[in-house]
Amino acid sequence: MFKKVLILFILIILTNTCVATEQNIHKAKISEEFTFETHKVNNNTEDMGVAGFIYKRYLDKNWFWGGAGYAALFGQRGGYFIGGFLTGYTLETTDYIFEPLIYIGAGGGHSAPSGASSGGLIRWSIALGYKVTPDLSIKLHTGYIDFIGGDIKSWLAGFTIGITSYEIFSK
Amino acid sequence: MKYFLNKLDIKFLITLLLISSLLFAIPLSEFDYKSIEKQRRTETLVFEHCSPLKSTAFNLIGVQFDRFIDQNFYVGGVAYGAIDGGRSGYALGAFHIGYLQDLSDSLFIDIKTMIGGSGGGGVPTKGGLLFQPQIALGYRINPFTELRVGIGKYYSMDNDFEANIFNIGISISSFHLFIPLQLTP
Repeated sequence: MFKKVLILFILIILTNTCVATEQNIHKAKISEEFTFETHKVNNNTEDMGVAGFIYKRYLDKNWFWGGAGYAALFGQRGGYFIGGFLTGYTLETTDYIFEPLIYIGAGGGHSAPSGASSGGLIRWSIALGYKVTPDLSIKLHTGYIDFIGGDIKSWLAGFTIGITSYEIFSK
Repeated sequence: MKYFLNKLDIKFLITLLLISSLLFAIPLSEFDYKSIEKQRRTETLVFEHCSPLKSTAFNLIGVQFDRFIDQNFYVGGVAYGAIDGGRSGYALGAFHIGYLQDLSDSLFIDIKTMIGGSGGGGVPTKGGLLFQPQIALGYRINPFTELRVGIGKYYSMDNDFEANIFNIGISISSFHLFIPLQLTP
């Protein structure tokens, strides 16, 4: 029953999108970010560097949610990937940004240590950033990644470069 | 927390993400309409043949996303996964920067360099960092559909794994509309 309602709901929304008019053009604040961070794996004995892409969609001026994917670049774990959802809050002044976020996802891969367990993970971070321009920001972040039931439980640190804009679409 | 994750319906989360913009969007003001800019974006479905110098070949499929900074330069990302050759589990995710030059109304050359991470499936990529330059010849079927054939080289940066690559792709181009944040009062 739930599936049928969900399909109907999606169909209604798609129908609206297909018959766009000037009156139903809307905007939503989004942010697209490149990120790099390091954390430890294998019972905190190995350093690993991962890079990724983050997509955020703002629900209002401050609250956002979105998705992110990471791939291993440095260390011994080529083929280690992480993907998941995130939600957080952006507090900003003219020049500076403070941004806590929580990330729920899954990770692992062929070369991943057994500490990834079943793959489910929770990660939180706090970022401090500087707005180079109103659109472009650079942030430093620190946080903690925890593979549920696994041995990967590590502090992390990294940086993010992001571009924020208003995406336009039809409602 | 484990219980919470088990109960979490991923399909529901994805649906909510997709429709969140529709639920929380803001109507455009008069000023917004004057500030709208467009950016060319391309999505490409790619089939890639990878021939390592020291092991057997395998094939990948994936998607590539390009955003044009100006008429010629673009940046973007790719995500590929192995589909055969005994390399199941091998995946690649990378950022790239490229340059596209028209040779005629329908032909163009596309040069790009990828940097990213890859591994799995027993492919010896060590830490995962990769560097992949490539060049492609493209044919524009119509203003928004392109075919391209490319060759390149795959280098695993901290291991001696190298491969020749050959790929074909079909692209859909469109203009994405947006409002730069700095133009918003």
